[in-house]
Amino acid sequence: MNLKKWILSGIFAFILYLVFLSITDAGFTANFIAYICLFVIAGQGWNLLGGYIGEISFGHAVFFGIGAYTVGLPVGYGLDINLLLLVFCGAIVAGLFALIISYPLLRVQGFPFLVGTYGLGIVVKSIVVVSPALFATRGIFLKSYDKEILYPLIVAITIAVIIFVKWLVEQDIGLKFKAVRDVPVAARMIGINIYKTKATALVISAVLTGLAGGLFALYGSFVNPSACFGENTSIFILLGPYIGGIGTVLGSLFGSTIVIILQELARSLIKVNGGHYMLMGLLLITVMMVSKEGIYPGLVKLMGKVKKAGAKRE
Amino acid sequence: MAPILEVKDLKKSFGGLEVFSGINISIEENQIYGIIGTNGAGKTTLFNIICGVLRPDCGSVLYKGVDITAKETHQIAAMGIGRCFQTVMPFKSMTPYENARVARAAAGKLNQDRQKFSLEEIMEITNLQDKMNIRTQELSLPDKKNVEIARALACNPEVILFDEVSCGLSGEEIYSRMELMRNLAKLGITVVVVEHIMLFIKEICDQVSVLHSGKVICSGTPKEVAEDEGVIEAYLGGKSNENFRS
Repeated sequence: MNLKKWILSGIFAFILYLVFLSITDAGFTANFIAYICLFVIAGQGWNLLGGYIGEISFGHAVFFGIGAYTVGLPVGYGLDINLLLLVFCGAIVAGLFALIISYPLLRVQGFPFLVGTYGLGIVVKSIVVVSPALFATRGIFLKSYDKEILYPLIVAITIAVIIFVKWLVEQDIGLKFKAVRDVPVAARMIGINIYKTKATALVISAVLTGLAGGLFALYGSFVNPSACFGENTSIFILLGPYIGGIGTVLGSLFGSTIVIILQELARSLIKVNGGHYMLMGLLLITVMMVSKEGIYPGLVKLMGKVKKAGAKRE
Repeated sequence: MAPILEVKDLKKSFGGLEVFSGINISIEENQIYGIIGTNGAGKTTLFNIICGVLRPDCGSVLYKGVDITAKETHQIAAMGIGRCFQTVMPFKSMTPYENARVARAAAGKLNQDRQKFSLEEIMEITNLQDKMNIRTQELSLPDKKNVEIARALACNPEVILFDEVSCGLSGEEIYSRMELMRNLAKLGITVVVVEHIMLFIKEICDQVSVLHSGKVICSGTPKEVAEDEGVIEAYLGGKSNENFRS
């Protein structure tokens, strides 16, 4: 599918969403769609680094939290700043933080990188939890944003992010990402600066995740360390692309959607506190056993096989 | 004519193993230059040092008179040295065209004045025009090797290093590689080849250097090298030179 088709599909999806909102009293559904969208945005961000560069991050909650707290902190200090402006500032602050930490973090790759990002998540969360200046564990309440504006806005931003990522990975920089992931030695040999390329991916990834975090603050009208900087947030951000199919835009979209739907479904079915994680674990095991590349690439392969079988029969 | 690529007094050891004990090689522009040697003679190590993947213990590598010994691999690529690997390493998730496109984007833009071919022309030169939109991981080994050559050409190189390019290919495919290398040299690209197949070297190379026991034991035309007693001794233990000469 070329980019024009993606844009048209995006516009069509948004119109469909607006029609759905106008003809139904979709309070809960609209709320739920917005919640899914937040993880779709963060998942697309994670996928740029984990899927297209091949460096698995276990600490993306840091960028998510920075985005959320950039919105929450000025409110906590009583400053009257436009919240939407703060959302975009949060994305930029997350990107700047990623740029700073890229230097030590990207000196390593593979498993050490994963451990490094996990460690970063722990450090940043701990700092927030013990800092009275950051409102520690109390968190910050925000005034409720008009949901009739916020939900369509979140959906529109999500569609824009998906189209942006699709566009990005087809540009020269996107090909460089894939080259670095496929064969780093050969990438170097054609003139690609590995560190710069990875740092670029990390920063863009952080900006998108920070954007999701900022929107999350508006969505929930509340920020606290465990919801924004928690390990669970990191896990849910990475699970979507991983289950859907890392290194694919559609896979990440489907994966994040499925993960959040299943999470909520499991919460409603399993009443034991934290029991829904069991279902998530089972889902992970099933996906990895059936299609280790994820749901979307698995479906594409299956469709290819069906097509081939059909052609043979003819 | 001034050499385009020079290796001067190069020394390299891995722990206690001395790979080079001060080698000198001088490659002139538009030549097809062969480097041969027994297994473990350091042929691939030499390429790795030229490309900046490894650093020598001492000595230097000069490209067009500029010392590139301490430069990073991506800088050396951008200066105009391309490479094809013994173990084929295309970007498998991309199409052949995208492989060439990313190479041009990475190194080629810095050297647009050197650009000899468009990406479409590169696809034709490397016989990939019919497969340029197929994922590289679905291609055959010879096509994957062509993708590597296409990728190297897209960087607008003045020198391409071919590391055992005939490895895993059939006789016919090897001949097509030889033809391709001749064409590249005619188009003004200096070709440096590391090979095991003597016929390959004899057929296409203008000059040859033989690496043995950390030294260049002979340099000259393929004919001169084939008749050199030191080379025969190194390859065949001095018993006969008939196999080597054939």
